[in-house]
Amino acid sequence: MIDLLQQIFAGLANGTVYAGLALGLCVVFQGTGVLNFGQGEMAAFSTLVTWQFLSMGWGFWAAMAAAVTLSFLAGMLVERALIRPVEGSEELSLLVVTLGLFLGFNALMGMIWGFHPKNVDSPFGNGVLDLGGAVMTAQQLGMIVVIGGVAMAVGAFFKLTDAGLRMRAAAESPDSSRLLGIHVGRQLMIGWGLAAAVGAAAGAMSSPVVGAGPDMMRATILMAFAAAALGGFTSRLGAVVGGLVVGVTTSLAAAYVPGLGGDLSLIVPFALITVVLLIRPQGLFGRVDTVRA
Amino acid sequence: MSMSTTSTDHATTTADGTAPRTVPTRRALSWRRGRAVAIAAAFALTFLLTDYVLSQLAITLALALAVLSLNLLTGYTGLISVGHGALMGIGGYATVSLAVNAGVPYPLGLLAGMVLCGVAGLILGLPSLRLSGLYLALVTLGFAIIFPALLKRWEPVTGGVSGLLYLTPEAPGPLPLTSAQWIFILTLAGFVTGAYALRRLVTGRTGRALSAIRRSELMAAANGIPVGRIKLTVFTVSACIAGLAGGLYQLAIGSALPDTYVVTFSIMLLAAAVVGGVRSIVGALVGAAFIVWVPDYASMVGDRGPQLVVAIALMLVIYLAPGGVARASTDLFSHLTSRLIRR
Repeated sequence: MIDLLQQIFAGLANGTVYAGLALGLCVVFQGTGVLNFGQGEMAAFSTLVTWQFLSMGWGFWAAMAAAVTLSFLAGMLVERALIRPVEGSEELSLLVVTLGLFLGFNALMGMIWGFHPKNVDSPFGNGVLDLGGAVMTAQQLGMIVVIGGVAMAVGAFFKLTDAGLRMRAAAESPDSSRLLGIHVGRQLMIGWGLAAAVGAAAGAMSSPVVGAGPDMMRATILMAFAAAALGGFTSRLGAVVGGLVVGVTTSLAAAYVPGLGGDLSLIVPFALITVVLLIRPQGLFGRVDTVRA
Repeated sequence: MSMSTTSTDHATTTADGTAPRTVPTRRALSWRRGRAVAIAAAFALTFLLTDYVLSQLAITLALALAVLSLNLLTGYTGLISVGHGALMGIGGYATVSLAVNAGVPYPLGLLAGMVLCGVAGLILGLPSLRLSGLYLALVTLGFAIIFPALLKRWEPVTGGVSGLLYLTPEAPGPLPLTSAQWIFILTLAGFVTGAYALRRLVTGRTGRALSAIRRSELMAAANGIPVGRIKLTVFTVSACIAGLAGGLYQLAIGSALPDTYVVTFSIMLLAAAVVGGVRSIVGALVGAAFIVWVPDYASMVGDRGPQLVVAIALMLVIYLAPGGVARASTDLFSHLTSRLIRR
């Protein structure tokens, strides 16, 4: 029982990271109709930027804030410079550009920082919280609180602010938005910026656990895609719920299903993606689109 | 190895019933003759180049065959796969594993790899019945990500992390060929056969059905095309060819290692298809050559230099020449020559 709780806590903590990345995937997908296969590598890049600031002697939060801000700007730049030219073209072109982002960011990281993951000290210290026998580390709790807070802030931004309303409008129906004087291109840029910033935050928070390195997001991005698929690619809430579900499921499967530990726990998100897309392609929270030939 | 007669060039019977064959147009004739000459010249290379260059070329041809299989699926039918590197892995590992663990001769291994890959392709293709475009890409990408983990775990068959030690096979007894020459001939024959099969598939009735599915599945179905059956068939055939390509690739490189078939390998294959042009046989060669030969030079910039070069090239091709390098250069050539002639 205690062991079960332990696994659930670990799953929830990892799940917030998946939720953060999945949220970024959704914001981008809603806006530009692109599944950004490079999202994980972009987040890893941001994490290494955080590490760079840390190694220059900055405090953790200052380093993370700086990296998040830079990532926001870089995300906007990527949209404007690389995605805008292929906007509305066939799916293969969109896919190939994001795969280019994947290869490019991964290669740049390897060339700048090398391949060995860097250690990052947890900003929450090494304390543990005893919850009726089951133990939760301060790092796990901190991850849940911080990324949960970021996700809620993003949600509130979309639901409660004028800027968020404009972004939803631009994603929902670009043409009518243009007629209403909304600068659609600018909204899409902000969407990509937000996605990159949330990814940077999620990456920085997970770096004390997995280490900051070029391949840190290789498994995580598959988890994030599973989360987004489960929640529905068009639902921000779904992405977050999906992230937590994927985190807990993977953690439990790795612990209790024989042979699924280590590398092979990746089978869980893969199976989730396949099953969800086959049975309910719109996910749990998503909308069904009707198609006109 | 002549490809000079295809049924489409035969004329129907004339009015007086003598049924003569019409003479193919001069242009078609020169094309076919050119192709036959090119293939003969390619086989002649066996005796002109050093073993090192030949083995590099064999690797290129095996990858080009894999790119062809991707062309059939992605270029002509519009089903995006980011998992063809893993399918190649199945074919490659089947060949090597059967040879090392069970002493099966490699021609049989190649065949077994193709069958196994066909089955895997059929299963991987099932989601395509309900999913399209980016979602299908996601499922196949997932397969590519978990594949190396599976290889590492299934140790009795795959040798686990350390892989399987395998030596490039020698030419059959009586032939006075070195191993590299023999493998080159095998892969060239594989590529030419694959190219021929692809041409037969994508022209005529089948080809029109494929491109109808690519443009709009609903319209295709409304016109009586059995969309689901064709998609599954194409997936299976494409996987079989990828499996053969994987087997040949493995014969050319020797030992089988799980790190060969990582997700970036699958992405590189798709990159090769896009850079060369997803609906072009010459493009498949250009693309494969690009991902084989560029790394040799780009690795001077660092370990992942090649990857960066491929990423940049991908973007440039998508922005500047969406049809691929092969088509862009023929377009440029005919543009230039037509201007020259006009003057």
